[in-house]
Amino acid sequence: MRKGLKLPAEHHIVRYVPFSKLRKDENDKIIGVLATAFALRKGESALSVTYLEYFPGSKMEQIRGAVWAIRASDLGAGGKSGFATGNVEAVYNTCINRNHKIRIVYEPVNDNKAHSTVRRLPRDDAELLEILAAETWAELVLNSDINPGKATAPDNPAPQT
Amino acid sequence: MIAQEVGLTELLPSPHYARAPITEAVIELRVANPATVKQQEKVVKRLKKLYPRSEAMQAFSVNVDTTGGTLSVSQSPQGFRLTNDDQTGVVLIQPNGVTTSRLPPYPGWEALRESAQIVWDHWKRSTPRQPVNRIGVRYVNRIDVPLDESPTIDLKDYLQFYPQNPCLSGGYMIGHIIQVTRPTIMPHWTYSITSTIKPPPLLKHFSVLLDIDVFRKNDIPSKEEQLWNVIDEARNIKNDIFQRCITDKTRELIS
Amino acid sequence: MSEMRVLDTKRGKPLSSFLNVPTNTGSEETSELVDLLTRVAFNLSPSTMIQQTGFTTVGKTGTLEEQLYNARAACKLQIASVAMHLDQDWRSRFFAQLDNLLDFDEWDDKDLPVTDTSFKTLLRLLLLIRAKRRPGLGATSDGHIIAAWTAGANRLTIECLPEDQIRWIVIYHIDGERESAAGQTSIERVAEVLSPYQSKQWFSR
Repeated sequence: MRKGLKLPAEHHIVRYVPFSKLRKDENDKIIGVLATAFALRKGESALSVTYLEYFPGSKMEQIRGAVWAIRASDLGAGGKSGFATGNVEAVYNTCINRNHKIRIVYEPVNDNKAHSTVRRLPRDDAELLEILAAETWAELVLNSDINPGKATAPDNPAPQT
Repeated sequence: MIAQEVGLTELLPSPHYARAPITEAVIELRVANPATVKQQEKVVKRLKKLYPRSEAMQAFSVNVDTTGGTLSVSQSPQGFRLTNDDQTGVVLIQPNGVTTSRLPPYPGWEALRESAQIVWDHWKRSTPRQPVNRIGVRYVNRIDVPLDESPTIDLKDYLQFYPQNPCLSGGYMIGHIIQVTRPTIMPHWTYSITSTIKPPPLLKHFSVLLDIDVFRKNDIPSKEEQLWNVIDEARNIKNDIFQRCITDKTRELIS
Repeated sequence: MSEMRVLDTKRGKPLSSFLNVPTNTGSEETSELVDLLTRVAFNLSPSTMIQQTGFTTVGKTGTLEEQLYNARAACKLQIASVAMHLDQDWRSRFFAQLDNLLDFDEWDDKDLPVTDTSFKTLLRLLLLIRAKRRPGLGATSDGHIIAAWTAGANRLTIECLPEDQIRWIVIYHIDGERESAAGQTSIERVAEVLSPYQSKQWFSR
């Protein structure tokens, strides 16, 4: 799979969300994702994500593959962290609706061959990030719900059916 | 003016206030001959379990020789500052003694006293035995007064301790700081009251500090039980002073 | 005369503390007075003897673990200073939330710890609105603490900036339609900016 390739609309991206960026209730029960999970840091030009369909198997198996790869990467994953999954087309559309034309492209890195990026995400549209967190990119899996283990992403993506 | 002449013959009782405005409660014991740094470090080590965090305190002095244009900086150790994990307890281990402090929520006199006794105990085990030459109990209170839209308040409504000054202009006072030090009605004890305004931590409030320090340098018992009974006296005196300094309006705020 | 002006009448804000220390001209009387005023005004109590370091500056001093410890400590000190205005149970649960938020094992090392100036804004906000429900806590990458309330699909998120400033975002559903709004304001105006969104749903039990 060529670096720089746009991810297919029907596919999904997974964003690692540390505990500090998870939405909690007053008793620290995790109930979702905060908008800040999708905010670019100073000096960052793109949002790092992991390409879900890079991994083989059912959706749950793919999610496990992605989580294990993130755990094995330089990023690591805290025990109380989570992983937010979003559909590529839905993320595009949410951004287009607010006049932002983003790009979601495959960009493997040494420690994560499934790594991809969301480019041209605006820095100053708080409502956009909140809508992503609340709706578009809100499907959340907790690190504690995935079997212990880590494995780097395979060198090549799963064959596409 | 003799205490009896102004009707001050006994200490006022001290009711419990649900929202006591105490921001810090301190017991201090001082000795004449300074402990060495090594001895202070021993105390710090002994208190490690209760106060895991410690920082060395240094005094810096900068000397400028204006004739030669040289600058020199020197520093001297001033002891150690210890804190407990939840930041409610602070201990100062200094060359001339120990200071035990509790921050809110105020746990009550008994708990403060017990903390101070433990610290003092470890100090005694680590340093040469010598008499105490100063004991002090200090309570820093902050009274937070909710504001209405009026641009002024009358300090007299909240405190009996306020600056008296002639009206020299049509303008209102915009700040003050006062300190009074006097002997108390109890023998050997002296009090010092300091008051000033402070940036309020709450929005739409006004904050005034009432800092009451009760101390003694004479006739301090050497026997432990008697020493702590005398320190209990300081607390009673401090409570009396507090009661006499506040008004009923303040009592309403803190009850 | 004991009456004091306490409000900046233009903005309705309390005047800050002041100390009018005269210029030290070098005379014996002035030098003594300056020294005395300074000592009385800054009569340091044990809790103020050393400022917390590595916390007020947005930057890295000490290891990340130390920075997070200092951040937790400074937050707790701020809470302690207003403990008399807080319910004990509320306060201890809030402490637990802070401990979880600023836990070294969970913290992304690319993020700055929560700053004391941001936390001060949060604390003043919470004391102002007197919400019965504590918010869920989060943090931005640049050290601002986040307070989040959720009622079903309706979300209120407040990012606390220094100097009583906040950025707020609301997602609100009415008649099946989703509305979103965002803005930046001072904490004094929170009730007003949130009035269209029935803030009671978030703050009350």
